[in-house]
Amino acid sequence: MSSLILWLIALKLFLLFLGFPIAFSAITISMIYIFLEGIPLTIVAQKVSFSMANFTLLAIPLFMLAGKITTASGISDRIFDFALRVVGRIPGGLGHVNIASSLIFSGMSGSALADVAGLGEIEYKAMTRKGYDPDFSVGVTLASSALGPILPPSLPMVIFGVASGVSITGMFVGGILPAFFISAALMTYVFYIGRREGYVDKSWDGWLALLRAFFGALPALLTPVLIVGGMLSGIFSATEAATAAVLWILLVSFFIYRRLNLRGLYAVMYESVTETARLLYLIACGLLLGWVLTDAHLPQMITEWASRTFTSPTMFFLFVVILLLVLGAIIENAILILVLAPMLTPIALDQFGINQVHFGVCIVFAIMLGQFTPPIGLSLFVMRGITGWKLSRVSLAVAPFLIPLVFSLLMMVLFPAITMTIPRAFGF
Amino acid sequence: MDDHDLHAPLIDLTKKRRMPEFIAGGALLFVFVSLTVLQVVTRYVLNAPLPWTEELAAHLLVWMVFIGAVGVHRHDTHVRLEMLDEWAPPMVTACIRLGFDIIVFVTLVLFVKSGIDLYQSMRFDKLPALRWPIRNIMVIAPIASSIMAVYTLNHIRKRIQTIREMGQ
Repeated sequence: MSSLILWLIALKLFLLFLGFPIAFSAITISMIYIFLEGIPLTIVAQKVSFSMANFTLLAIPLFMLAGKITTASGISDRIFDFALRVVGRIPGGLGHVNIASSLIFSGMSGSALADVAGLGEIEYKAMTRKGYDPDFSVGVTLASSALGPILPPSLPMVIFGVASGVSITGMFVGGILPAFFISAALMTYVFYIGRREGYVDKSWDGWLALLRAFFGALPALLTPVLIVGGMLSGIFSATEAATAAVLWILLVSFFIYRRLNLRGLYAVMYESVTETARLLYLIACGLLLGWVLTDAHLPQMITEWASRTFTSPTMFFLFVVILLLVLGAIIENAILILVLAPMLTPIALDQFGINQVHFGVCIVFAIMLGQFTPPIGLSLFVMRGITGWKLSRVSLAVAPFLIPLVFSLLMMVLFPAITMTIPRAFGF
Repeated sequence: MDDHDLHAPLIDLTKKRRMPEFIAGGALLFVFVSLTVLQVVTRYVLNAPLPWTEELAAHLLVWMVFIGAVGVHRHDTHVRLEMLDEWAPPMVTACIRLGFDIIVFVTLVLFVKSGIDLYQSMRFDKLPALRWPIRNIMVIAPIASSIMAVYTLNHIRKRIQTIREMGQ
């Protein structure tokens, strides 16, 4: 049985590389297993359909809708304007503005792709117009989008929570400090480049302008407070927090910023459904594959192997992170989380005593870094659309920024306090 | 910052958005938001939570996903790797994609059978709060999959046509 499942995984990877649709590859491989093992075929429709009937999964389309409304409503330029006045004078100038904007935007969007789509063009245009090296501009824009899934809300964390049973609220809270830590690491790198290349802008419009920009961005700054505050106080579940975020952003877009009309809202809902259907169908099929892998005792095989191979939690954790950095480059993020999270999380907890929230946040970040490496990195494709460059040039542009990003990841793994200080204060 | 310069990428309102699958999905999205708001309001404001809102929303999600998946499949825009399209000659790519379409068709037909078997086996199962037959919710799986199978046949037809044109 063990060799059968390994062969099937190999076949799946082979089909993926040839361009077989990822969702169907999960169903097809599962069906082959089910047929060979003599399991009734009914299980396929049962697992795919019932796995979707989950109230928590509803948070995905709703957070996606919130992100789309944010992108469409023009909130992003208020955020950019505020960040410009706060950190624009530090050497590295617009590089820091780029990072700070992404940090604020990530409190509304929940995904790296939304960040690149919502802010990418504004940031890239502003930087290149001011004479920044285009490759540096693309690199910092992509690298800062990694903050999207770390600061709450976070779509990958919702998927991780649904797949592995780890508290979504715990992971949301656990992502707060790491988001600032990653921002600091990126800003240090940008500071170094800024000094070297002379990216310095000392212009200052005064405190009044700063105050005006602050009030302009305040509704955006309040979104993560609303989401996390509501969840921590027990008022909202993840799904209800997503609804609250949608309503809040709608309110802001219609009545405060006045940048969205009903036609725009229709377009936003239409686009949200398109992306949601694509992602959730993939997730439903991934959950079927996850069931197949469990039925084939793959988690037990991995547990046995891990307990024989790794003597300390750190070694196991580092191995998992490196594995995910590699796999993140070749397997779609959602599938990776769906398949590996339920297998690895119990091992991390039971075998090595690693806190689930700490494990979840680090794993999500590790998988997200795969966004920046071809061939699967979807963010690269979005940036390619903005710049019109070849995919290889976009990949090379972001490559130097992997140094602070991977450094941050390693620090998060080695020093759990970075992730766990806030969750522990709330009893996670 | 000059405003008009920054606002360019927001959302393209000139693009046609008329696919019934996604319009229906958008309506369901509106229902989800309404149900969740209703849930919070009845729980905290009226102090009398409704037992069925969560159940209905969760099961309508199944409908939204399958209806949306039909739309995604119609235009063959499922997530997949595109390396081969860039590296291999177009003829080879087209032939491989044809093979994949056939596998997808077989998979979908088996999924339809699986869905029908599931429908028949769930005669007596009902949702706990709404007391609706669960099979009436789950019936969307074989229906959507059969529509997707029909679209796949169309993909196969077009693919064969393309290969023929390339051959000439």
